[in-house]
Amino acid sequence: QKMSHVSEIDVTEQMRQMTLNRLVDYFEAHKRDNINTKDNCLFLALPNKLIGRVLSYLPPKDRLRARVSKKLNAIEAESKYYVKELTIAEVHSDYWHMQSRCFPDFFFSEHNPYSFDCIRRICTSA
Amino acid sequence: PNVKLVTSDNEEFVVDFRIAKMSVTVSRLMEAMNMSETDDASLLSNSIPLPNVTKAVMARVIEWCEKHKNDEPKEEKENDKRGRTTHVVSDWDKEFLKNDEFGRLCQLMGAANYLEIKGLFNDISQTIANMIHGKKSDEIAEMFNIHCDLTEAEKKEIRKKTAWCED
Repeated sequence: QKMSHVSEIDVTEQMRQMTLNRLVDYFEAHKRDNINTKDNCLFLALPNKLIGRVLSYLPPKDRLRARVSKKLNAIEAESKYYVKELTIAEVHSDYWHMQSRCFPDFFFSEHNPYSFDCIRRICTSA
Repeated sequence: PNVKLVTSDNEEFVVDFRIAKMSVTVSRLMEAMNMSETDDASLLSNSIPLPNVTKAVMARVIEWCEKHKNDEPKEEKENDKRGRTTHVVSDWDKEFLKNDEFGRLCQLMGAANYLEIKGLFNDISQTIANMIHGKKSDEIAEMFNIHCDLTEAEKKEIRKKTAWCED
């Protein structure tokens, strides 16, 4: 697995002289460099405003699931939710026994359950 | 009448005045440079520099503009009843954007934003959103080649709060 990056590197004379351990270290460093390069992910290289724009096209579930890096998490928290109306209602407590796999902090809107975290985000960014 | 556009890699594109006007940015620059449709000399002696757009991306932008040059200006609904921005991508646009690999799509989005071509920008935003829609977190990360730099604590927090939508 460590050697999978060989094809991306031009083998130099210096590398031919390296011991196997040093060579592996070299590849590991090269791999890290690649990961840290911004260009590695062209989507994250876009300005925050544009990434936020893409998120605004998504329903809350998809938006929350898209928080797969620090940057996306921060953008999601900042970008706006467009909500026309929000109905908050108390739900009978028996419901939670039936839905034991879920967290007991849900709201319902048009039959979709939303977690407190989601509602909080909607309320602060709407 | 034609307008000359020059990309960051010094490629000159000669396009119809109407095509050039589809970009708010180009339109503003032409105004600032006193270039007008009725003054051929002003169009011939000037060219519009576009330092944020490369030749390859510009060619795609112009292709899109050629197709849409006769479109009626349409009112975009900012959001629908489910509370999000929506934009209908036409079949031609879907087919057009299918040809671009994801990296190019991002470059095109950057260019459409810089050039202020709203229709193209909305098309691409909606297309990328459609790619994310319905996917799980790890699938999104893999698709976009995103290296997860969240700490274990942050991951745990997010997992806890998104458990309800991972079904």
